[in-house]
Amino acid sequence: MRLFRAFAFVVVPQRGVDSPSAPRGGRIALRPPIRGVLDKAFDDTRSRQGTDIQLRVRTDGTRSSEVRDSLISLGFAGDDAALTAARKLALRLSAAMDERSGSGLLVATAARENAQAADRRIALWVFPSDQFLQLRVAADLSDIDIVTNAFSRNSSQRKLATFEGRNIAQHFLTGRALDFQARSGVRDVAEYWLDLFLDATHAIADQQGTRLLADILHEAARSDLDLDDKERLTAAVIGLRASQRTRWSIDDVGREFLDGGAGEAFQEAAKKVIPDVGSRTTVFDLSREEFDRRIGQLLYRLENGVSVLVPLGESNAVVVQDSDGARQLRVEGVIRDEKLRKGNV
Amino acid sequence: MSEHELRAAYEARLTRLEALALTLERATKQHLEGLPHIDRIAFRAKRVDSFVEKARRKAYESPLDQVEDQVAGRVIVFYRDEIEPMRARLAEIFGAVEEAQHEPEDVSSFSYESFHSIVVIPAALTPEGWSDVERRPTTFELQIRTLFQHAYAESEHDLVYKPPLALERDEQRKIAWVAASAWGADEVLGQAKASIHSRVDDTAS
Repeated sequence: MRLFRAFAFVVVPQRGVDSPSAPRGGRIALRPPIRGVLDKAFDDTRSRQGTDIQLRVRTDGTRSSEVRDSLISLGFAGDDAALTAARKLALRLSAAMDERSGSGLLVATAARENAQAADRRIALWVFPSDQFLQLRVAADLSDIDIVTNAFSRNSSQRKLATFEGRNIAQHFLTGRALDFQARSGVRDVAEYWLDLFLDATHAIADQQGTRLLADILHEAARSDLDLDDKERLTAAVIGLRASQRTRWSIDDVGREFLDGGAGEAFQEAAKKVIPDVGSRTTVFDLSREEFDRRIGQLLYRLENGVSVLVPLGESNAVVVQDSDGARQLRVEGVIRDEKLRKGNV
Repeated sequence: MSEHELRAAYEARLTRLEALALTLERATKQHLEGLPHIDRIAFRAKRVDSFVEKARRKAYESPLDQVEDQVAGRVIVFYRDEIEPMRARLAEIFGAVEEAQHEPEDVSSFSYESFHSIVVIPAALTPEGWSDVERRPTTFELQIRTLFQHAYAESEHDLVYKPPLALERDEQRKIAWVAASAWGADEVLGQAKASIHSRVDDTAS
């Protein structure tokens, strides 16, 4: 698609301000260098993980929200209405930001294949402000200028949200968000960007994501794995339960906990359970209660100090019965190897 | 697009719509597992004839992505006062973009009643090959009804919505009476339930 419209505004944090000032900026000329920078910036995102998002809209039949209406104006309305929409988004972003964010440059662009095409792609960028040093060389005494009115296009703190579709009720309800500061889901898209500015949620509900993850782990356990890989899967489950981190994507889990045969089985299972590629990088909050319910019991600690670890998918290997008011566990099997650890005697 | 082309395009996607319906049904059943007073949860992909007929009747510009009940689901509950909690529960996993309680505008009329919502299709639940479907739907329809609302709605769909010929006045009045009776049954069942629960609470305290 080719950019046909772009707007830029300087946004400063104004959250909580009663009468926020209108951001400075407006329509920008799409000169070849600017077009090149924006196209390259967009192309660079293709290799990055992002998260699917869904806009919150009114359910009264209008499907309206300030963000959705603005996106549609940016893409399909006349120049004046598009400018008004961009200005509205800039003010909205400013009102969403607090002092932790720092100022930035909001760039809103619209792209299409050609003038007759019905589809549009709308991109909302935030490039954080930065200071640069500029050397002025003089014969007698050189100097360094500090350039302050600048914004970084390579900063890890830049953000992007994209939306595509036609001007119909069924489109511009979902999009994709990238936070370049988020590293493999350790920190996902900044909450002010997603919740307060875009008025959106992650596209996978927490309980749904948790169930899908459990399904994937069970599916992986059903594949032709040796016992070591099955134990790795079980260790991944225990690691997930014990982790302080709660926000994951499916890909995050595979990367963090699994490699080798178990990792491959997990990836294959993930593709089978969730064919959509983008969904596998979309984050959700792991619901521990739901996860425990879906995974089932894997670790038993007995009164005599013995612990029994049941590999995922092998729950039939143990029998748990109620006996005389207590739950009794019985397990039988052939010993594969025995180890006496140093220092544990 | 001619009717023939539209029919062919819809037939080409039907397998994936059916797979999507299955996945959505499973996800809904998992989410509602253990909740009482649910009679059934069922999802379906729209039949080809039904899609083509709707596309023609509503004169959509782009029916392949504008018809929003290509996949539809229905949750049937026992009591009317459980519709709203069910709606809220389903909102935990499905993002609604449109909601409406369908009922007659005229307070003296009785006919079809049902809660309808239009929900974004979660990409994580779409089947393999879904992204290859051109002009694919982005939403599906989700209804919540009581048993009595459903019993009336199914008969009405057969006799009134697609009648073999124009209905006579007496026939229309009888069908309206059934709708009123269904409404009344829901109303009285709700009152009886409230009364019973109130007496249970009194006994417990």
